[in-house]
Amino acid sequence: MDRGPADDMCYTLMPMTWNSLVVELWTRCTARCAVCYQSAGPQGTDGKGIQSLGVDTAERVIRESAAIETLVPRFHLSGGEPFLDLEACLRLSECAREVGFLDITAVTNAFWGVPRKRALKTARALREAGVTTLEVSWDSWHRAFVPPEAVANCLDACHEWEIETNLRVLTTRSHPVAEALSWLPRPTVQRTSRITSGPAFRSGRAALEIPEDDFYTSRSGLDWPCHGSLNLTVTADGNVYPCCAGMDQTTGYVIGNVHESSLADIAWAIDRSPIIRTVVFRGIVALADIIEARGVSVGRDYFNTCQMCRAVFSSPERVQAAVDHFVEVQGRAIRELMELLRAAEQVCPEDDSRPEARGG
Amino acid sequence: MPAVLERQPARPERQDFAGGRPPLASWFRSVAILCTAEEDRLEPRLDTLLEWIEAYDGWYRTVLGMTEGRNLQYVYGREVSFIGSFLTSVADSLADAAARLRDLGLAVSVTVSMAEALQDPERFIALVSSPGVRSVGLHYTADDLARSTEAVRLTERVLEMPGLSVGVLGEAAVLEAIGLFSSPAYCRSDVTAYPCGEARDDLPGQPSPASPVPPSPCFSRFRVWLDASGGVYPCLGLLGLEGLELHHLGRPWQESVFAGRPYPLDLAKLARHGPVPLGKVPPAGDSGLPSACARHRQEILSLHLPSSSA
Repeated sequence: MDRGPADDMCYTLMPMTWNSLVVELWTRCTARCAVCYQSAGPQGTDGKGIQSLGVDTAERVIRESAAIETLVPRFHLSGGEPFLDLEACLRLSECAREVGFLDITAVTNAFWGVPRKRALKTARALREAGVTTLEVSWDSWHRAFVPPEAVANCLDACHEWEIETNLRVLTTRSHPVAEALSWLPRPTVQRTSRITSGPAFRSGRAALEIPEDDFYTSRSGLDWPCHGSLNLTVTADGNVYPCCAGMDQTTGYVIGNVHESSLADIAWAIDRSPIIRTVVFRGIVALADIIEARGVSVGRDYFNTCQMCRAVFSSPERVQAAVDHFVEVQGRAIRELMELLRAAEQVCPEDDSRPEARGG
Repeated sequence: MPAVLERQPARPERQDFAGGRPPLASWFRSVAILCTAEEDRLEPRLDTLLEWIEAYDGWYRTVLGMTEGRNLQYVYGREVSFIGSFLTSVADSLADAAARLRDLGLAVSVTVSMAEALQDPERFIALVSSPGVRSVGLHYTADDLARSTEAVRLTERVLEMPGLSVGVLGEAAVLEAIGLFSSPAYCRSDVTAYPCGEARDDLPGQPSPASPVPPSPCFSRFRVWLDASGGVYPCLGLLGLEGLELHHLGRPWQESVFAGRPYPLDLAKLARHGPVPLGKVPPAGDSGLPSACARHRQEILSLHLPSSSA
């Protein structure tokens, strides 16, 4: 993609805007799907085990988010599987509504959808707590842990209580969208508000457990800046990231943690990070160019920008190269400024109009 | 943590509460036009429409303070959607419009029926390839089943166009029978399908909720909607309802709600809380609208006058 003056202006001037506040409550999940980008399961994530943000901390974070000027009033509760503690979900949804969020959403695998009576009771409680949309993960990998009946009951109960639903389906060559939908009753699929689908990509547990030739290999462009798709994300360990699409699974470059600073302060610092601004307004390839100019390889063999971003920020060596670059740039900018000031002093060595120059 | 990260300057104090109270105008960042083309001419007329959008865009930027360098974040994600019949017959004019709108910072979305796209696939592809067109909606009906191979093939061409976001609409059974959900091109793309087109509100054999469903905030459904006759409305649910126009194309801007004319409904309250049900109203039938919108529309219609229910 060609870059022009408009991109440079965005890089310099535009604030980052957050499409939602995402709170990943804990890493535990009832399922252990091969395709999970977080590598979550009953024992937490494969890498970090069980982590939990804590409901009190999550509530504080929601309240602190009210000060963030560029946050769209959408709150999204995620996990792991957040519905392992329904009461926590209800409390946090109510808190979000009280704070002023208008779109209150959560993701679930719908394990709680059986029996149907439980699904209806849960949907009613969610609606009364202010939940407007539920995202339901459903595909071949989830089916190994959650019966189709539970998913269908969940979708129907949400329909009855006027909670919008988004059925989220991941695919590989051997698992098309049609397969996931074929396990659900047709009227239920028809009542779903929307069905978003996309290919699984080779990262996290999927890279280990799904055969390489089962992944789709066609690629979307890597050159897209992501300023339109940012979500301010707080992970279960309290770290804060500008998205929940892969960077939240890395620890190479963490701007802040809600256990140490307020969310608003961290969001402000993210907005001012030259590394994050490069990714957001110029694209991950622009950052890769910077890293590679310092002799550290990144490559371009990625399915999409999110996978490439995750690979960059998972590598301490790549992150350090980026940090070193911007430290140098900042140092150079300060030196140039000092030289300009010195040059200005030489042009106007003495200002006789100053009171002290006149002995005043 | 790298040293560079520890030297963040102190954040200035802010008193705003933008997470909860964004300005009302920010919810009207996008425009949707339900249009039709007759004798190769778009209704509403394209030149009038573009003139109006330029005025609206000026209002949006001024009200939000962007012209003074404030609230720049509201420039993101703005879109003009053309939804209607026979749009491919005016493809050249629409392509010109898309370029003009792009200069204003507005992306363009085009939604057409698959039947129409199949009438002249190359013209359709040329339209959606136009600079400025960023997303495409394709609407399928049971009539497309007879040409399912061509329908899937054309959809796959669109899906493989770089930088274009694609949504598909139609009865889930039709989308499935056409073979869309099995298509490798579909399955390797990020796509959203919107099941619509048959009764969605009745759930046979299941009781309605014993208690009233709490109202749902309208903010995510708000955008500026225009119909083919030039009426301007705040959402799809209120489209065409007498007395609820925000404006009308061709009338002076000063007569619009944007310029300060009072509006019968409390839009800010609707945005934040949604329409409060008034009580029992006639069934909405198969309107294709979200339940809350269909109910609100029915309530207003049943009162025969603009409601102050919000």
